[in-house]
Amino acid sequence: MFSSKLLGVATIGYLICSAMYVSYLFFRNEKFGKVITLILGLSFGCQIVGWGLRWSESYKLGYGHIPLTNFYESLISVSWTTVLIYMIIEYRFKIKTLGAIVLPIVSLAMACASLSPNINDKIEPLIPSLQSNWLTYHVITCFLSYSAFAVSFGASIVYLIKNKKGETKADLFPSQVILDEMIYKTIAIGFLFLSVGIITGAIWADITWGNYWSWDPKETWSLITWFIYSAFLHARFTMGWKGPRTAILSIIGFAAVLFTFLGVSFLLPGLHSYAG
Amino acid sequence: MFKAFIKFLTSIKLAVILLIILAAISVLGTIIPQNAPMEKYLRYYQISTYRFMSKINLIDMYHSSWFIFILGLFTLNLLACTVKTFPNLWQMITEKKQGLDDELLSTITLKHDFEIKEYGEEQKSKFIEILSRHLPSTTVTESAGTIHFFSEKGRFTHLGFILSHLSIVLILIGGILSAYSFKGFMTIVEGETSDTITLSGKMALKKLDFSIRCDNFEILYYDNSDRPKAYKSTLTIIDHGKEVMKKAIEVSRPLTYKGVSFSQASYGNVPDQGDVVLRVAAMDAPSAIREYKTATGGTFQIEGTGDWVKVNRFVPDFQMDNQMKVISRPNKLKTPAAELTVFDRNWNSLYHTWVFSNFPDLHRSAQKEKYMFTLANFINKQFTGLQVTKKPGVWLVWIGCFFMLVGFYVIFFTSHRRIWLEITKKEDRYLAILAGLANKNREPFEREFKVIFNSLKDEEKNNTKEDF
Repeated sequence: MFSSKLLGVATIGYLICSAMYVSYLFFRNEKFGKVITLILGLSFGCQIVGWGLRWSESYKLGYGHIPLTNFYESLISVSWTTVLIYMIIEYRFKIKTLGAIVLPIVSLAMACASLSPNINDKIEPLIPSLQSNWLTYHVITCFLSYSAFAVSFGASIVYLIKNKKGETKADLFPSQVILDEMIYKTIAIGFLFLSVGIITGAIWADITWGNYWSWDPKETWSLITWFIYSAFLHARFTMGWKGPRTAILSIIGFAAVLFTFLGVSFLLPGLHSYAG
Repeated sequence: MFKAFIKFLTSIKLAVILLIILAAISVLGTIIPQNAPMEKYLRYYQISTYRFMSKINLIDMYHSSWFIFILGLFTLNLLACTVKTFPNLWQMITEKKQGLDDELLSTITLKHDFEIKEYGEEQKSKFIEILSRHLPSTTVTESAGTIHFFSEKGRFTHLGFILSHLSIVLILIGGILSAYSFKGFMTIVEGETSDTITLSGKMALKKLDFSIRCDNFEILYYDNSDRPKAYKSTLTIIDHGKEVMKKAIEVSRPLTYKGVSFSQASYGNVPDQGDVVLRVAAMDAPSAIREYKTATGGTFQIEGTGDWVKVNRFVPDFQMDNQMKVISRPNKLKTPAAELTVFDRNWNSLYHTWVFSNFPDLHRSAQKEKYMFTLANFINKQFTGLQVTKKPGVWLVWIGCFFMLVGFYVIFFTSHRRIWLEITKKEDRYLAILAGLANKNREPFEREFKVIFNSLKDEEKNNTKEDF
């Protein structure tokens, strides 16, 4: 199908971008930076068009659903939301160096999705309980939050590296003050989206199962993630924490995000299980 | 001692500690299976461990008294923190004072002194223009030879704190009210009416004050596929003998009546009951085949002769035991058969026969029969399984969620920014102070402040140039 070809092109584009972003750390050249952003934009465009085509192909098959419904589609979708959030942050902060961490993660997710033999990339019909517009609201907002947290994770790692090595390697990455602001901003965005994601999930569960909260493992882990990030926000806002402690909290938060996204689906039984 | 305890109870520190405790407990709750059958626990734990876990409610922790206690403590702490901060916030929101006194100035780190050569109406409007470009409402006052410019934006950002924290209290109260809710299950056979639900978790029944009839249940499939696309029940609500509501529900499309929601949850076949489709031809005219459909236990009249046929019963897997009695294994469509009795038009019984779908010719050999029957189809009668819930607190939860999102947006994406510009005449010059304060997002505000400062300086430079 044409959609998977486009997604393949996007994967290659992201791989090239990863290599270029890493080289950009060493050759700071404004023109070179503009070329990377251009390639990133083109790859993102390919992916969005491929994703949209997959959506329309599903209608041709008679199933007709947004590509957010199995593990393959989840990986593809969370990749583009991450690139989207990253591009916004790159534009707002005028800093390209974080791409050296974010793009390799995205490329890995895309490559896993298309190459792993265990991941089924067929368009399948949707079981009745997933046929709802709330699927779109719930999954997109959750993925946007995961993406924002991924970017904050990248910034936190860089922050800690700089903290350990001191400001000697200062030219490689942005200053700690800017990193700190980046961590906070992306977590604020992620926290807002996570809240919307949990709430839309609760509304959907209420409509489908007559219960807005049932302590299903995925629900519980999303709440754990929410607790950790709200502890982060209170530590920073109210208790005046700054520096490595908040960066570490943000990394713990992202570990919870990863477990919510992947761990729960494969290790714990429940409504969101891919294994079942 | 008591005071210190109260202080701790209302502190942000306790809030963060409780958040971490709640997170840790929740992790435990996803590792230890909750509300699972006993056998499952015994696979992983000793019986004594299981008894202990059961005693302290580790296997149903989200409903345990200690978990509810922690949630209650969390709610109290939240309320206390909100109440404690409220007077300050309210003052910030309603404050009339806009002047820059020494006390306030000493707490501000973002300030610049500079000098102005000229100050008049022209400069005044220019300064207002520059300040208003960033923070729209600018006021100018004069007192004791000093001119005060004051600009601000986002006063209401302080409401975000109250909204977001009270919203969580609302959600928790809504959750506590769910103690007055019920959750249960009911099955209704197509065509039948019921008003009784089985409460989940307990072996108890509950009667509703209205009843509900299942008119039809059906499964829709994707084209050319055996994958189900929809499970659909057509339900009618009957209240005081009157049909008050009729609705087809599907998964994710529930019906709600008097606060009670009915969601499509399961379905099944009623054993040996349903519609039987028979093909009938008279032995002396085998090519004139007619088709009849009737429910098990029902009758039909054969056109032409006027004879009657009664479908006594249907069995999905026809077998005989050693006393030649017909038995059947339920729910296994292997050798489906129907028992019929044929009557004449005056209801005198003519003969009995069994009709099979797999062996349509079997009955012929038995005796001289008037008709040739074929079992063409059997449409099993189904029942629908409905999840029934009543949650009186759910509206509080949704209102809380809405306020929470509005609160978060206000907190994260708006800030209260204030800028003061004070100009005092000293001999032939004017001394100016520009000071700025933002309650959050200080880094972007610092950049904005720099822009404002530079614009003011540029303005001053332009003025100076004109003078020469």
